[in-house]
Amino acid sequence: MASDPKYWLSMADRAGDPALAAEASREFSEELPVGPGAEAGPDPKSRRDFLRIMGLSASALAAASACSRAPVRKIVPYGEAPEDSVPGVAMEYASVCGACAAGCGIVVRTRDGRPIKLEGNARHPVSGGALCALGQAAVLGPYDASRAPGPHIGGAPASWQSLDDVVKQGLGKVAASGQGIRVVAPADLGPTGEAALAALVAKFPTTRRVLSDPLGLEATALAHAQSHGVRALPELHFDRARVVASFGADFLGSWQAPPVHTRRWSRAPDAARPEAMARLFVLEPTLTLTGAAADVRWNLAPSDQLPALAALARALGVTLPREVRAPELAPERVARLARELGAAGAGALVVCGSDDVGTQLLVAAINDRLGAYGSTLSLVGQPVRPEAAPMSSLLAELDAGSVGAVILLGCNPVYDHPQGAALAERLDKVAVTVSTADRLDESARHCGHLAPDLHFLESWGDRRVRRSTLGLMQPTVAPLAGGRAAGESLLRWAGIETAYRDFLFERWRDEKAAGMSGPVLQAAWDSALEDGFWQGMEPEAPEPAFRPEALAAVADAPAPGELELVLYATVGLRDGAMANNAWLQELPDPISKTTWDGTCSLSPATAKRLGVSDGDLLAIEAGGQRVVAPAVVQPGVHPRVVAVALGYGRSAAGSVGDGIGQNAWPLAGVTAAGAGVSLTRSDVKLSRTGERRALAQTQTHHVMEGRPLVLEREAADYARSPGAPRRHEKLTMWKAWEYPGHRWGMTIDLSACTGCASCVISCNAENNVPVVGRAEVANRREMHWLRIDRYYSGDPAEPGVVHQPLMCQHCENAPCETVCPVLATVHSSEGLNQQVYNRCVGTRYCANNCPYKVRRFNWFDYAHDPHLRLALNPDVVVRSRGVMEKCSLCVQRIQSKKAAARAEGLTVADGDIQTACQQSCPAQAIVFGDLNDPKSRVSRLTRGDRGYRLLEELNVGPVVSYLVRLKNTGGTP
Amino acid sequence: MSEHALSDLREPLVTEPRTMAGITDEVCAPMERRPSILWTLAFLVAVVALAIGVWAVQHTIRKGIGVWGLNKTVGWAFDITNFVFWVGIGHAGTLISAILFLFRQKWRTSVNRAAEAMTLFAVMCAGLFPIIHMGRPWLGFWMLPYPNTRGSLWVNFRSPLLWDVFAISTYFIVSAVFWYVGLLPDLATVRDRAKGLKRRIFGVLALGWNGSQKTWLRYETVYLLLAALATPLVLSVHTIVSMDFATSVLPGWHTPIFPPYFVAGAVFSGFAMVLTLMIITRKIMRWEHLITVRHLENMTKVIIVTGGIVGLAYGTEFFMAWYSGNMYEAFTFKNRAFGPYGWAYWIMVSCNVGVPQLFWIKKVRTSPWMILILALLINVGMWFERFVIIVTSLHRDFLPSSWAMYAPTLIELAILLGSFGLFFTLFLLFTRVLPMISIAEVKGVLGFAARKREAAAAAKAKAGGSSAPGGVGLPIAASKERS
Repeated sequence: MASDPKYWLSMADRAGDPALAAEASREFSEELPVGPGAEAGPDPKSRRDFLRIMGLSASALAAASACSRAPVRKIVPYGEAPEDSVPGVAMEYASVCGACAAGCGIVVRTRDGRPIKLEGNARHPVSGGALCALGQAAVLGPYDASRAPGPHIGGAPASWQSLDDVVKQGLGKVAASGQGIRVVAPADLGPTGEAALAALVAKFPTTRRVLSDPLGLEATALAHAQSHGVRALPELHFDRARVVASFGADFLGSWQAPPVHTRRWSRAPDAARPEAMARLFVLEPTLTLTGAAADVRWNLAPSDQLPALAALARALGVTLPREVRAPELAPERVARLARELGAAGAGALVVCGSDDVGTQLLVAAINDRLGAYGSTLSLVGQPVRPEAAPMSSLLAELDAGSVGAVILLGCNPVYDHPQGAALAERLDKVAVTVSTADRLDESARHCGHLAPDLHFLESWGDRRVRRSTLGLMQPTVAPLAGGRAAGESLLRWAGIETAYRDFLFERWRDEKAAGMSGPVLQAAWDSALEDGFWQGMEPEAPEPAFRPEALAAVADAPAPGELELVLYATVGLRDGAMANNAWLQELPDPISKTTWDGTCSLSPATAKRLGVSDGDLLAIEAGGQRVVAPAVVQPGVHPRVVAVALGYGRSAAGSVGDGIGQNAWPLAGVTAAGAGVSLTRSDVKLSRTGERRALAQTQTHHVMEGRPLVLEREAADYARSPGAPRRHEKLTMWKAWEYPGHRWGMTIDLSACTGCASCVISCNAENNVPVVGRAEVANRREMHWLRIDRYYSGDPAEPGVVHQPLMCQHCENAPCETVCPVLATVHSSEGLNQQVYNRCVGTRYCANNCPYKVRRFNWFDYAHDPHLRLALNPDVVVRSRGVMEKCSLCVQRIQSKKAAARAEGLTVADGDIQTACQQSCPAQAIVFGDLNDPKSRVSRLTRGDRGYRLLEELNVGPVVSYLVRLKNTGGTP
Repeated sequence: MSEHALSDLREPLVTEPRTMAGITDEVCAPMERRPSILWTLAFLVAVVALAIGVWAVQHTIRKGIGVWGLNKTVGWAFDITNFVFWVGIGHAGTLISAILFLFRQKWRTSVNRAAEAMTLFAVMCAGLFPIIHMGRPWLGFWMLPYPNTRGSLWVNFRSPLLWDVFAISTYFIVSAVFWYVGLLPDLATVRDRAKGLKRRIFGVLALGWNGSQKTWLRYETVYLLLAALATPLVLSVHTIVSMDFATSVLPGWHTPIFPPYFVAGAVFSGFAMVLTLMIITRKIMRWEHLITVRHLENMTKVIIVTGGIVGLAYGTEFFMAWYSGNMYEAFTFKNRAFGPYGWAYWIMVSCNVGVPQLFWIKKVRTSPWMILILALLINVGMWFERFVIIVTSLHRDFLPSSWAMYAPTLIELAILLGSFGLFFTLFLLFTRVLPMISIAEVKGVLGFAARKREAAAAAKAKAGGSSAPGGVGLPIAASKERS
């Protein structure tokens, strides 16, 4: 119509340009930066706009819904979105675990800037993806509300500037007067930490180092300094060993670097060649994880360790310069050890957990005699440990008044040294005392100044894994508590103003990237950070030679006592530094299954003799000190031994860890030389207090009652006839369920599993499993989705031990599904048993009808713990009071990997999806995958000779299968 | 009701001469006089118990089920024990009122009303437990299959708990209707005697009853039909309750004999409860001539039979545990008798199998006080039966790693007490506001007795000698004379 003219914008418009038309149709639209392709890197502008729009609509929604009960809370959009951050998409950073000195490689998963999960870094050259329970639990560290909010002077908050001024001035004055400055530090600060300390020493030349080594691990390094001229811990290659003998070294549980040892020892690959399976002898005073994993386990009193080693050394042909008394260990046992170790030769490995240098010298002599150096253990690539004086020398110096300043660098000797009380008293009198603890801990309370360190997830840092290999630690979250890296503090006090990150970078560049510059250097650095480590060339050097004359230092063994004391590090707490971690406190001890308490273990025979039962409070007296702990009647403890757990009894750890059990370190002996501490002693008195404290145990019945739950076979026997365990014929008139697409399944190798409980904590972190506290555990209400059952067999004096991790078995004919009246638990088309939390009304019938008892009920409102709240995984629902919950086989991981594969037009490949428990399992005992794919690992293992299903005869059809445990005892023990 | 011709050999059901008006006066008397001190005291105790229970329930709902002693292994204990116990109690009422009605057991007339009331109150007590035992009781309505906006999400018809919902609600509704219909002639009687507001209330409740031939005819037809409808429920309710256990996989629960075993147990415990209530009522109300020793004796005979069935079931379970060769099953039963809860098992066996055997002795089953004591013991035993089945099966099942012990908390004890408080509060109110004995039905059996009395008195006068001792029974000669 002429009255309705068509207006045109330009000549192109008029000509009907299709490009313009397409443009015009998009004029007012903006693509959302989520969905397929978002990960590939959306346009930053559109993402920012997305946040703005989302923020706007969220506040509009909030305003519109103001009449409802929910309070109005405004959300604030990012003014400027952080680079690379996509809401709802996890970021991962490679770093180094700082939970213990092992320095395992980790991958930190962050969501919206918060670390929520630590996993093993599979590419790491030493740890290879393994991470222990301690490392898993460390993710709670940055959110620990008990950390100091900033520096303190004289117990009062101060600014960093004023702290630095006071400390610098104080140190300067002390150095000028010629008095000593003592830095108490653990043996390994990482190369950059060491460099920072060196800078401080350079500035104040009267500075000397004192060793903080609460668990006496330095004895091995000191012995090698004498026997091989290298103060280093040898690298232990359990993977190359055919016969291993451990004398009280809990290398799979708490000694040195357990996840690394476990990965190397793991029997998962061995089981394929049962005829060539390695054999593990463990001779120990109390039952440990290593003892539980042993093929042959013998009780050995602490006082008998040196004589037994000496007898073994003699039997292997080592000449000892000094007579050592004959051991109590039966001669045929010594002979068998000598025979089997000797036959294995360079394939043999002897380790010992002793804190006595003489004992470690004997071990070195035996390993040398066997030809193990260069084969199953090696010194050549290992970092050399710094010279440091034992703690007793510091006390002597303090008494003499020759020390004017003490810096406690990442250690807590008032708590974890036997003479802590004496040290505290003397620290109060020293002019300048500084602690770099992250909180006002037991030692920091006796220091004038607190310069709180950062958590390792907030901090730059490095660890020397081997001489050539550096692990790099990078911050994954801005400091939440106002601390500063301890190394940076040292630099400031040394008068160096370089930022710690730059200092680290420059040191790395000088050592590893000398000669590089510009983009090449940047690329090398970026790649090192991305990997989490930098691997250099391994030095081509021969192993240092053994010096037989060092054996002169081997003294005769002390006389055996009537009752001997063993102080041991627990799998969950080790040295107690992480005692304020609720996950670790609630982690059942893998052997005694106790939580929230430091216990003392007695053999059943001794308990009977003394009339002691579980939970009786016993007074343990040694060296004038008295500690009270509840008794655990523990099979596998030497009848003459009382074993007391370390790491408890913190008084200044924080709201979670304070006042749990008693500190057992005061019972330890002090040695003038060597590691400075003796965790065993022969002069201990035990008496009943007449009081009781019920144990909070997660398992109270310890034998299988003859039921076929954990199946075990002798390896040689299995090699001869590898038949499958009895499988049940199934007669049914029902049509089988159909699983188009995937059918998820899991298999757990009971040969490989050591029961280290890394999976338990990993599951806690991934699935927001609540912590319930001591009283509720005692009520048998712990919430762990994944538990590890532990059973004993045979003679209670020297029992066999098996572990069985148990989570929801995702039964095909699930008994829980039929009984739920409201369909809150249903079966997925991929074979998962799904719990619908918001549908659950809490009848608990499903839990009653579960033959595996893996369902967990929210008896109270457990989930809303402010301490744990920030580490929640946003991918997993937080369960409210009154609903049932259980393992989902990490369905959120399955879904996200499936979505990612779909976005790329692919299907999920075998091994792409790893459940949380599987990912960090140091033993690689857990395999997850698609049972519909006959070639997947899980299918092959399940069908394989060792596969069986728990309680198969009930015809509930679990999709989790277990692999028969192979043991290589070699016949009679 | 029509008068039935009965054999003269039968003993009279009402043992003292009463006129029809006398019966009406007697039964209505508690409703028309002020409460006695004894009643007031009993009511106070019941209300206090109820109040304690109400407090405990609100505490549970406010804090969570964690205030009970349950744990990851034992997910049910006092809650479901009480539930099954109370459902079981209810059974005797329906059995007496419906089945005995259909079998023309005239002796039921004086106890059926109270027994049915007991059924209703017991089912009310029972019905509370499935609701309060839920983790989120405020969502309990999700158990009902009502149309909703949640898409395909509905109830699970495979779940025995859902069957329970239907079974219990059906049972309650049918029992209530049956009871109410049976009350109609008596409500009219009360209406006719009352004045003012009470008359108006009972007028409404009596649904315009006018006592005409037609009314009676329809009433009796409806009553008969409802009796037929209620009869299968006696069997179905506890059958379905037993399936809560029988359909599970748990050793000790997974047993096909549970339905008959539970029904017998329910009747057993129900009769014990009826006896307990009746013996106390007849004493307090002085109704020994209405609720006679013969009534009590009949009920003890039912107890002997059902107790025997229960005992047989106990034995069968043990036999099957051994005969099946199933190690889990065998362990469960060994653990039941000799495990840490063995004491509960032996309480159960001695109360449920041992105690009823005393009823073989005539002296025991005709002595109300002995019956009362034994009936109370049976109630204790039947409560423990449910506790044993639930707790000892759960606490040690397949995997020894999960074995745990259970102990009730004070809150759970308070809720159990509260359920008794609720039961007795309702029952005591019932004794004050409704006729406790079916006036109309008792009148139906009265004529026979009354006339026999008269005849006996006449015969006695004629013979000038004594008749049967104690006024019980009727000499044959007298009845021959009559014919």
